[in-house]
Amino acid sequence: MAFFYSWVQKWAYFVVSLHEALDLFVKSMVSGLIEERQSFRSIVQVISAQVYFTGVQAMPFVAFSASLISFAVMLQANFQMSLWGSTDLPGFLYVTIVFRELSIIVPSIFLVARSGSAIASELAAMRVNREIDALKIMGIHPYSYIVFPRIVGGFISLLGLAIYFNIIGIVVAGLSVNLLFDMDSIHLISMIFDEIVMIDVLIFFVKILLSAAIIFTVCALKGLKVQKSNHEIPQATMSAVISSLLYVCVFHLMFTAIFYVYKLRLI
Amino acid sequence: MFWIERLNLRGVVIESFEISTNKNMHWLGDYDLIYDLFQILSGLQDNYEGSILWNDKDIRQLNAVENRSMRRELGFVFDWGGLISNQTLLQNILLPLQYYNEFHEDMIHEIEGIYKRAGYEKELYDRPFHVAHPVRKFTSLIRGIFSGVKCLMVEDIAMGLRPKDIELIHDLLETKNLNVHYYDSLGKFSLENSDSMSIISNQEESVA
Repeated sequence: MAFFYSWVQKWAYFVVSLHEALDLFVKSMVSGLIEERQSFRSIVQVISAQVYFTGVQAMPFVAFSASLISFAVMLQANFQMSLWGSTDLPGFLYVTIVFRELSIIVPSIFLVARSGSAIASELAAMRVNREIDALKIMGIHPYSYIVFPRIVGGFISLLGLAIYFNIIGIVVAGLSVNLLFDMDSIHLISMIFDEIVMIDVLIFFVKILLSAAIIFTVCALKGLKVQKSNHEIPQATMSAVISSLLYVCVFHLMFTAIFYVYKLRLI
Repeated sequence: MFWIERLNLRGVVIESFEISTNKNMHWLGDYDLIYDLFQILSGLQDNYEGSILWNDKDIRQLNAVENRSMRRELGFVFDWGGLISNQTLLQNILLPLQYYNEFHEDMIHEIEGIYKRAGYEKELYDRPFHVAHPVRKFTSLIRGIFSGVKCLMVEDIAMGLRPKDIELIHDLLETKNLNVHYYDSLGKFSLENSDSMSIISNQEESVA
């Protein structure tokens, strides 16, 4: 009974948090785009700062992980090729593993760890120092000024990082097959592009949009929920990281499942 | 102009009262009651009995556009300042102007001039936690004055400021022709610069 109660409580918390996050996302979009539009200069300043800290500063980490993952996938492809003898396996494996899954989930994890935690702690500190109150009394809507640009900046950053991940991944994959297995790099790249279909590109964008929305909304929500004391800041940060990782993984898995069900129906 | 109706502040009920944004007013009486009223007017407190009307509408039921117009009519400077800690003092001052697209480049020179007169020109490019309290207080007042509002409600205007800074603020308020509602524990500056006075206390409410 206690186990059942705890299980129900956890799911209730999950649903309530999800509802709160959705509410914050919708309100931020409405206030940022329609109701509380700020000057173009002001919004560009905040978004560009967000893109710099979230996207540009994460590029070395993303490049490093893309290189390692791509190299590992090509090693596996070579091993599987020797077993099954399928020559288009490297392209297929790259698209299935790297393009469809890891090029989105790995930058998302970097974003949660670097920027999600930073946003949660920054907003929590702003809340404790009454800076959010100061914005309100100046008529500056916190959702429009703080949350909206962070979601937009986060989306731009994640999109950029995912594309960057793939560019580095394809280059490293090409070099790997060329140097280690004596395969033509151009042939591999053409195999990769042959494997990518329109629905892949569509799902790639949807996953990025959703991941960015989840990460930055959940982290902003956790930061803004802090009430009065400094000791709540690390708690909010920890909760933001765990929750956003959980939500991103669940939604990622959901979309992947939908995609494969769709593909199976086509077959 | 704001209109208070049956507003209950910790048991003290203000039946009906007009808050004019066209004159300088000194608020006297119980500090906690006035603080509550300022918090309610600023939108930081919305759980109260009674109503406050702005253009015949309850301030709790204004839509986004109306709320924005109301906030451009009445601004606030509380003693806690509320400066944004990851922005320099100059960025803090320019924040509302940039948000409302009312910023002009020559404002920077004007603000630099004021800080030079006060002797705070170096601090203008520092962040709030790296400057002394009087500079933070001075900055929150300057931000309020430059924010482009018609009337400013200020808590403890002279508290923590040097006499030179108080003089500067006084000159600026006159130059900008800004109406100010003072709510002050010291009272001297407020009394000298007010046209009228409101008293809220737990005994009675009256207007002089």
